[in-house]
Amino acid sequence: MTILLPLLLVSYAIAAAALGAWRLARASWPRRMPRLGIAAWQVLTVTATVSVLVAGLLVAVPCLPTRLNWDAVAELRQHYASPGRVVTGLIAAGGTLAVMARMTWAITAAMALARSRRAHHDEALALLGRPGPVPSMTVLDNDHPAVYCVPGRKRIVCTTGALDRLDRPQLQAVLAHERAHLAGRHHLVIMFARVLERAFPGIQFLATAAGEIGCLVEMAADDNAARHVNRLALARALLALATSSAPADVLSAAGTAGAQRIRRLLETPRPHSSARRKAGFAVTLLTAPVLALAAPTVALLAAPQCLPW
Amino acid sequence: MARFGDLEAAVMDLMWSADGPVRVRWVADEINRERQLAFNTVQTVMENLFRKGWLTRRKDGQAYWYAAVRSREDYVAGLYREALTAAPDPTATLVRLVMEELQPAEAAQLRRALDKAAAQRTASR
Repeated sequence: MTILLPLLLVSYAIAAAALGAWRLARASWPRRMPRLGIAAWQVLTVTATVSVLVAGLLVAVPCLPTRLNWDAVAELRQHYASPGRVVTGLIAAGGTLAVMARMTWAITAAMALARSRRAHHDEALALLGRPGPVPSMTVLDNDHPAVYCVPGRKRIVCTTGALDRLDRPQLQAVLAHERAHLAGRHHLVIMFARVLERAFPGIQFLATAAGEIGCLVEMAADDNAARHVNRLALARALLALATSSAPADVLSAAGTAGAQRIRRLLETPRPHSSARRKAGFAVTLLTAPVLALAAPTVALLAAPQCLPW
Repeated sequence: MARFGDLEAAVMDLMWSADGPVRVRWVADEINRERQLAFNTVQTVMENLFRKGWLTRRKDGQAYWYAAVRSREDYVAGLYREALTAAPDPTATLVRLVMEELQPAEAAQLRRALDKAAAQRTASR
């Protein structure tokens, strides 16, 4: 009975990862509602990861007492009386701990690295950059057009090449896009997705999730910017920046994601009632964590006592 | 401490404009054309820049001769590469506006679509 539960959880995780990723990557709605799409991908990755962790935990500790009582300890001792179960339990415990340690380490290391890199980048910007035409903007003397933001210090950097190519409304649109990134703390969203991908290489599902989240974050920032500035100005700005004569080694072969972004800005957004959309977001944001943890929680609740395997 | 950063930037600008290695005295004199700063302050700023790896120095008798490690253009190019490395940065140190280049044919197509959308918008007004 208890071995069935972990098996079910692992199957659920695999099914959620495989089917969910397959459906989500092909669906068109995430690109129309990127914030919802990001939440969906996050729900998928969290639910799959936590399910696997809970499965390992359940194999290692098949008795989960509702209160700390000695009965559970005695039953555990009885459970571990046979050497076979000790081996299985040790493997499960070791695996679970290894996965948790890997995740913790990967996230801590990535955050520390990002912090030191940003500090270094910021120091260099202070010496090399000039104040831009707008506060919080730094201008870098370089002919190649580039615009980016440094999250920690909330700095928006623009090269002279980019300033030359953008007119005033386009520059405002670009700044609105970058401010949306900063306000939405998109760097954390991207970082967690990429850290998971790199912590468990070979799991294609995590790589797909990281890639899709990377695209959706850009679209979310585009949508946010389009609420404050002209959509077409933003589209023109993206086009101007994406068709620079950049050195060949920076060129990437398939520019489909960038083209998709510009195309969706050309479409008139559907006249949703904004209140309804807000309500939809609120409901999704509240239910997403519940959905993500539902299966593992149910599994934990279903295993309150020791049952013979 | 923001003022201190300004000072570092001012010193580096002078160092990049200098013809070769210079002494702290020269930098202090140049800076003091515009503002009033103690020689010691300038010396501290330059020692900091040396520690951070922006300046090199060589002792000649009693005085140090300082020089910029790399030209301003080199630093900017390095910073630009850092911001635009082709591989996605796993830590999301920076968030770039445009991730990749468009192919010329694709760009031309998009430009036409954009002009059409703009025309439609003016027509419907």
